[in-house]
Amino acid sequence: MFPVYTAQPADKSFTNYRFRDWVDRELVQHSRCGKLVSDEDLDNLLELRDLICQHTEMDPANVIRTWFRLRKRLQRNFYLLCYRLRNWIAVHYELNLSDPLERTGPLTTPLDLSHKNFHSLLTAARQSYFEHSEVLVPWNDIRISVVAKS
Amino acid sequence: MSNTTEIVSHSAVNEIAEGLNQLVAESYGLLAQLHLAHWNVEGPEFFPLHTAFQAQYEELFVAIDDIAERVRALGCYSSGGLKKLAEMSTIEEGPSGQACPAKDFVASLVVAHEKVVELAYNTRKLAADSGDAETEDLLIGRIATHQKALWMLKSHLK
Repeated sequence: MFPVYTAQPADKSFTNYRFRDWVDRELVQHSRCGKLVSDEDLDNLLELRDLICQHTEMDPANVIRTWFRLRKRLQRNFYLLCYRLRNWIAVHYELNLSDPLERTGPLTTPLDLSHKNFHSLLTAARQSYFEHSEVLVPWNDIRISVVAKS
Repeated sequence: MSNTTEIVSHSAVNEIAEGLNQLVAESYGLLAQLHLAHWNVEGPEFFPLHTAFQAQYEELFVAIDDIAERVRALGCYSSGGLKKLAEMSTIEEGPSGQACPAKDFVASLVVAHEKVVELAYNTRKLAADSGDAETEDLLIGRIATHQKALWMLKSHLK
């Protein structure tokens, strides 16, 4: 796995109440309809809720890793919720790519969460940085950070 | 017999018209997203979704005219023009000119309809508080239509 660094702490001013509310509504709606959420889904929904509530204290790269892990489990039964969170993450986080030896300048790109997993997202980001560079930067020298948008 | 503009205070009329003009802009944003989804949707659900998106944008196109004409009936001027409406609209645009999963089109339309409903609800409340029953009536109809669309789209995602 590629190393991913956190360049700066996440901005604490992010509004997460709406997303927490969406998770809560999803849980209420399911219980109101008498449609039981499986224990596994419930655990994952609560973990998602936790992720939203505590994201400002979390390493941004870890937020994205957790998102990919939870999406895999929740997307089938909670597509809309996953879609909302995917958009929220894309609005609040981005990727910074740089060369520690400064052979070429840094690049900031949006987080493309349509990728299958975090690894393929990072591979695509490296590829775009590689193509953007004017000089040849060895693939493994490219440093990637997930950062909270200011 | 008094007309609405005489019954409703001048400041309230301006606020209501502002809400209605914003509703026109948001509705145009939704209309554009419905068109995009109608054109680009792919997969085994192509036929029902393609048809459903068309039914929604055709209904919405007529409704936008009613909303804009209500602004004129209130004695104010309607906002219009693609550039102006695009500046005003807060509807997020989906991927254009590229493939997109059918479910993402549906989910993005849910989010857009929710925005329109929220604005229509706030403007309806403003009209009700100001005694503008005609605008209130128009918006009650719009809210019900968007809520029905939301029910259908959300059902598709379950």
